[in-house]
Amino acid sequence: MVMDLKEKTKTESIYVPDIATITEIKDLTPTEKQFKIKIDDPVKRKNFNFLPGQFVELTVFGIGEAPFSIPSSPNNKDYFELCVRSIGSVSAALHRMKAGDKVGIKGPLGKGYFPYEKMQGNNVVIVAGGLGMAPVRSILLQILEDRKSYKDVTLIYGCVDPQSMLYKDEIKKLQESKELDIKLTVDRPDNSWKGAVGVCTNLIPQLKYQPQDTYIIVCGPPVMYKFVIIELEEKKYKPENIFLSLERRMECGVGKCNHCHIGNKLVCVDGPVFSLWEIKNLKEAI
Amino acid sequence: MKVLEFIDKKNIDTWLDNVSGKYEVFLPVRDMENAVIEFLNYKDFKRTGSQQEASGKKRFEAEYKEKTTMSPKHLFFPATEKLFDFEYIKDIKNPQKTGLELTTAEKEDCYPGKVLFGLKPCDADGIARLDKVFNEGYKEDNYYHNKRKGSILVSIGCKEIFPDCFCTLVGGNPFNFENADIGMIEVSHGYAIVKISENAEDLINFSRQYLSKDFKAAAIEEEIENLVNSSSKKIIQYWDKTSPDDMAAVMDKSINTGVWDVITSKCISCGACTYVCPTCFCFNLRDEQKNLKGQRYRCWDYCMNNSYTLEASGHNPRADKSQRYKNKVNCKYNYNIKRNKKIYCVGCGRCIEICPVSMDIREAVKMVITDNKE
Repeated sequence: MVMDLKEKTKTESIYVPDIATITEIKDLTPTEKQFKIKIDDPVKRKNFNFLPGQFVELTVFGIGEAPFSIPSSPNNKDYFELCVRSIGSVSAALHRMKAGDKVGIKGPLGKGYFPYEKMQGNNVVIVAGGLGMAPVRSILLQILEDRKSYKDVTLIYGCVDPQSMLYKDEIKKLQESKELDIKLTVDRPDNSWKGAVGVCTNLIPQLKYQPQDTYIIVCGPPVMYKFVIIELEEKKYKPENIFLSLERRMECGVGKCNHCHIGNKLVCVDGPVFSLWEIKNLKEAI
Repeated sequence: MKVLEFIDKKNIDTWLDNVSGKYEVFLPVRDMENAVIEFLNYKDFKRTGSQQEASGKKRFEAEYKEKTTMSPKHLFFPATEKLFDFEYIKDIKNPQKTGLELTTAEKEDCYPGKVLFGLKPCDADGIARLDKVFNEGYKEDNYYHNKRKGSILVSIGCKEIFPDCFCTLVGGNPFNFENADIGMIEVSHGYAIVKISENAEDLINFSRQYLSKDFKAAAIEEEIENLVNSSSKKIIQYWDKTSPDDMAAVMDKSINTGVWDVITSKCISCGACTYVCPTCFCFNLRDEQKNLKGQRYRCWDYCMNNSYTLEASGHNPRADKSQRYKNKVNCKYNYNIKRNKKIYCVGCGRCIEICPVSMDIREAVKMVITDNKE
C-alpha cells in the first residue's frame, strides 16, 4: 500500500479511554451491583449517544479493561448505568470501588443494536436469561418510553433462583401496570415463589404471536441460545426478525485485536447484536 | 522486468551510510553470538562493526540470502508497546477524592522515516497485510500508523529458495515487488532496481550519486529473466494454484469435518508459529501499576492459547486444541479472505521452521483440500 511520506504523527488514539466518575452504586443482588457513571468531559458526555444493545469498555486503571453492555435507557443523556457481576478481575475491582472513584470509558461500541425503529408497529418478545437481562433492559426501557408505537410486548425472564433476579422492584411494578406481559421462571424455586419453574425455553411454546409481525430479542448465557433458537424455529419465527446479543472475550473493543472474531465477523464492531439470519451460517457462533 | 536503475556492489555500503543520515535504516544481519538473523539499525551495525574490528571477531554480518528468524513486523508493531500512562492524583486537602490523569505515549514527530533494506518480498507482503488491518480497518490505529508512515520497503528478490518457502502457493513469488517501494535483484556485479514506487522517488533522487549511470540493460534483463524462471520452479507444489476465493470455499466446506483432529494431534499449543508470523496481528491489553503511576501495554497474543477466548464466566468457545488450530488456519485461509480480500499467509515458512513438533501448515491445508475431494 502506498503511504504518504508527509503524513503527520497522529496523537489521537482509539485505545485511550475517556475518564468518567462513578456517581452512585446500588446493590441489585448479592453478586450484582449497578453503577451509575458520568463522563467527566462535558463535550464527550454530550456526544455519548448510545443505541440499545451497544456496550462500553470499562477500565479500572491498573487492573485492566472489560466490556459491559449498557442496561440504562438510551434517552438518559447525562449518565448511563452498568450492571456488573463480580466474576473477573476488572468486575471484582469495580465492586471494590466507591462512589466518586474514577474509571475509564471507551464507547459506545458496536454497530449491531436492537433495531427499535424496525420493531415499531410489531409485537416484541424479549427472552432474557440470568445476567442477559442487563443488555435487554435498555431496549425494554426504550419500548416503554414509546409504548404506543408497539403492539403487544412480552418479557420472558429466567433465573437460577428468585434471589438472583435483577431489577425485581421494576419488574413488579411493570407486572402491576399491565403495559406488557411478563413471564418469569426460575430453576430452583423457594417457598415464596409463585411463578413457573424451569428454563425460559419452556415458555416459548406458549407464545401466540404470528411470525409476520413479531420481533424477538434473545440474550442470555451461551447454552441458552441453542435451545431457544430450536423452539423459535419450531414456531416458524423469521430468522431476520430474531436478534441475539453475543458475547466473546474482547480486549480492544475497536476491531483490531481479533480476540472476539467468529468466522469473518468481529463481535465488537459487527455486533454485539446480530440477527439470526446473519449468523446462521457462521460456525461456532452459537 | 525492466531495469530502471543499477547500483554497483561496491557502492552499497557507502550508499547505506549516506541514507542512514536522513532515514532510520534497518538491514538484516546474522548475529554470530546468538545464532539468529534479525533486522538491526544500520547505526548500531556500524558501531559494533568498528568496535570489533580491533578484536578481529565480528558480531554482526549483513545477511541478504536467508530470511530473518523473526518477521520484521515488530518494527511497526512491537511485541510490547506502551499505549498510555495514567496517574492517580491525591488531593492532600481532601484525601477521599482521587483524580486521574492520562498521557498518551505518542509525541509529535517522534519517528523518522524507516528504510527497511533487504526485505524479502514475502515480508513486504506481510507488512501490506498488516497495513490493511491497522491502517484501513474500522478505525485507524495511530500507534501503527506513526511507526509505519514515511517508511520505505526495499525488497531484494530471492535467488535462493529454502525448503520451507511456499510463496507461490499463496499468490506470491520470489520476485514479486507488488508491495515493496523499491524492488532490487542481485545480479553478477550489483543490484538491478526494477521497481520504484512514488514513495521511494525521494530516496532514489537523494542517492543519485551512488547509482551507475551506464549499465548494460539488455544483458542484465536477460540474467534476471533466467533467475525468475528458475527460482519459482524450486518451490515444492503442495497443492495446485487456487484463487483466494476458491481457497475460502474449500475451507468453508471442511469446517465441521474430523480432519482437524488428525491434523492437530501433535500440536502442543505453544504459539511459536504466531510469534514469528509476518501476518499475525492479535494482541491483548494489560495494565501495570506501581504506587500511583501505571501504564497500559499491548502485547502480542496467540490464538493457540487456551485463554485466548476464555471468558470471565468460564465459558470458552474454543476450548479444544483442534478447534483452535482450525480457527488459526481458517483465520489465514478463509476469514481474512472474506474480510480483507487476501490470504493472510505469505508463504515465508517461518512457522514450519520454528515449530518444535514439526507441524506444517502446508500439510494441513493439503489435507483439507484432499479431504474435500474425497
